[in-house]
Amino acid sequence: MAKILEMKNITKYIFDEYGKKINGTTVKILNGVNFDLEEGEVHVLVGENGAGKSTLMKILGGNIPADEGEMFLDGKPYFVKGPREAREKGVAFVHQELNLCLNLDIAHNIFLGREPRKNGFVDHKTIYKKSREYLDKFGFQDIDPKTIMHNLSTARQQVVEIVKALSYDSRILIMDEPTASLTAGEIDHLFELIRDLKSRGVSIIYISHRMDELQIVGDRLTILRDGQSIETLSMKDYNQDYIVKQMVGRTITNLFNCTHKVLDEDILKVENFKIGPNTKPISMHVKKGEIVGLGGLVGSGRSEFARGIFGVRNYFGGTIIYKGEEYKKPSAEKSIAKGIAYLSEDRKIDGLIVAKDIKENISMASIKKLFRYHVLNNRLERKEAEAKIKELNVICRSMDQLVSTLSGGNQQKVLFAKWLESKPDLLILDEPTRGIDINAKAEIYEIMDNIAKQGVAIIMISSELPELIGMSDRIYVMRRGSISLEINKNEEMTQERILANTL
Amino acid sequence: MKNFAKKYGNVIIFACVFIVGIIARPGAFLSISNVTGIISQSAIAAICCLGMTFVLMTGGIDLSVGYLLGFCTYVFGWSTVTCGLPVIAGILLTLAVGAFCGMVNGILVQVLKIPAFIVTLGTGYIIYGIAQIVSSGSAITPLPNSILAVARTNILGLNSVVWIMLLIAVVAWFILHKSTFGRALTSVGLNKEASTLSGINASFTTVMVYVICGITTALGAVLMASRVNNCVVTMGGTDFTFTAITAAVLGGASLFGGIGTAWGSLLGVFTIYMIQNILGILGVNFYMYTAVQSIVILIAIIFENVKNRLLQ
Repeated sequence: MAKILEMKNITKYIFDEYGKKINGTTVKILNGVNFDLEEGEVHVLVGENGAGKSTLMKILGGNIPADEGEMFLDGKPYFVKGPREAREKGVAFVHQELNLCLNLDIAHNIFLGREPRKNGFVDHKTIYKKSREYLDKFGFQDIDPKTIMHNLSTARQQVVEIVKALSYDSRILIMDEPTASLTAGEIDHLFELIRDLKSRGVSIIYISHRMDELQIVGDRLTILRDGQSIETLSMKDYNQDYIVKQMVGRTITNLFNCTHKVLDEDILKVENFKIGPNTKPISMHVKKGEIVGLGGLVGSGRSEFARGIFGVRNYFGGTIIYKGEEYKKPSAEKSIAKGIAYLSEDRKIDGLIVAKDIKENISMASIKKLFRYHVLNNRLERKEAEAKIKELNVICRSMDQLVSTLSGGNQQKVLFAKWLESKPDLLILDEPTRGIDINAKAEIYEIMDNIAKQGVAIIMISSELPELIGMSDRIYVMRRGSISLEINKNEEMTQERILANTL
Repeated sequence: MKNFAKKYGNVIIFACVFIVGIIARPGAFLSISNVTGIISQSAIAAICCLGMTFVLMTGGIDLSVGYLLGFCTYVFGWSTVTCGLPVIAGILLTLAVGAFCGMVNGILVQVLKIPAFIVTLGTGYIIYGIAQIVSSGSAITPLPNSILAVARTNILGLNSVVWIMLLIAVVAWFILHKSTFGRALTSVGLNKEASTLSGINASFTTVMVYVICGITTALGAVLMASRVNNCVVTMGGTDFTFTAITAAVLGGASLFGGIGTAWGSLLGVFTIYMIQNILGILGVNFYMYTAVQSIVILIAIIFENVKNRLLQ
């Protein structure tokens, strides 16, 4: 196979919001990275958050320039000034956060910004005709190009994004965590599409945190660590332990090293709790010092259940008994005062205020507990933030740094710090390790174990089965808004059993 | 350099206008009487602008302040002159009316989830309409001597209205930057969902900022009436609203919420009145006044927005 792309000794220094090197810095985000891509192959790029995957792809996609190094496309020097030029040269990006206009239909999204014209007016007829052709070409005869985007599932929206990227006659497709928000069935479809694209000679750069899917989809794999390309290997030599070791630079001996002990006292008891008007009632309980896993598919009502107890979502009957007393009409304010904390699923949407600094985020849920007479106490706030940053090992320059400038793992730690600051007795975690690298995951598990050791009860919602099984003392599996299975014994916690009760 | 410009953009603009003033007519511009004149002219707008800053911080906007100001001067005149209530009672009634109108704004924005600029544009016209009906377009004058004395008294060379403004500024500074309420409103302005989940009462915060804005407007109305010895509903108006909002934005407040400071808004008001003053000193044609002022303000706001790129 012929080499279609070659990136040699790519170096990029820390840059500002316009992609320009910050004056006088010597900190490198990428340090002499080498990467190549053959025609019709899927080349997987792995590495921890902050290893430089996204930066490398941004350079390839023309979003930011490289400071040093050379790139060749088909053996000719490749130099682009922006994403548009990159697309014209056949390099297209399928973003992790889909870049689509939800209020437009599929066809107009595909042709966004390059609408064909007729007599100076937009030629809608051609737009629909061409879109139909593109969709047919990639096997989506069932999708109507006139469908408005927000009526599509996330998986279908992604398909549109891919079709859009391919409509530029792209030869290189960059996919950044394409499976992050897809269900198992949708992932299979995506992989089929990828195989089809390969057979058409399209080369794909595939970024993912999900180790289990790499072997299925990839041909070769390159490991990035701390801005350097560590190794490129063929999938024939796939060895997960070895790859993880190369990614983190150390071996993680035991990810789930739980030493906490469950106390024999219920902290929360929920009876006949209905999350919807027509769902079956939920009854469950949590003990002090216990980690209770809540498994199930996305959309099975896990978050709704958690939000109902925390008091930020209505529920349809049922009683909550917290610390031996009935907890009526819950609200976030009351819950926090009572010692219930809820770490939401999406830290950027409703978890943290990323435009604020670390210390203000840490004190955010504890304003009432920290400050008397409604007056802020900066010294106390700094002291508390300092302690939490140290305790949770948040890696930052200072506590005055904006949260948006932190890596995903560190943002998640700030989210933990914020809720631990509120001194909870019951901690509800909604996908506590989503989108963070394995090193940070290990740290989060350790934090959870430490919290449980202090007698705090934890409810952990998770879609990652190894994590669910590894961390939980007990597991409830949810299906269609109610609990379909409770597993009490560790030896009965198998992936197969849990999966069978989610569908 | 970049951070400095980000943090002190309002100072830079203020300094630029100041320097222009010095170059244009150093003698007239820098005289003590002119400088104190600018400050005392700014005082009433500054009080209202501080109230507006609260609203802007939550990501809202209040377009009704100009009309509310006119209505409140009439309420004040009606209560003290027509009804003969004691001045103190008249002031309290006026403040209550301001607070009530603000509360209505806040409730409409929060409960009905209608965009703030539509709500307040509507309520502003409603207030103006009611004011026209109850006043039949007439003015109330003269006002009791005790209230006229407020605007006629100088303390340490500055008008007492200026001292009231400084007092309000200190209170606003404290609430915005030193109280948990101030923290809550920047949080709500930046991310309502995250704030709610953290136990911050976003509804209370949202309604409260409009109440605060209503109260500062009512206070501005009382001081305005005291200064001009006249109560007429056409005082204030859209020009006044425009001044209050642009001053806050010039002072560094973001129309998208979460960002803004009390002292910045104060500086913004001074900047605007300084521009007016310089135009006056230069003898710019009266009919050019609004146009030139608007252009200068627009340039300043564009500068605010692109300064990062300019100073990169």
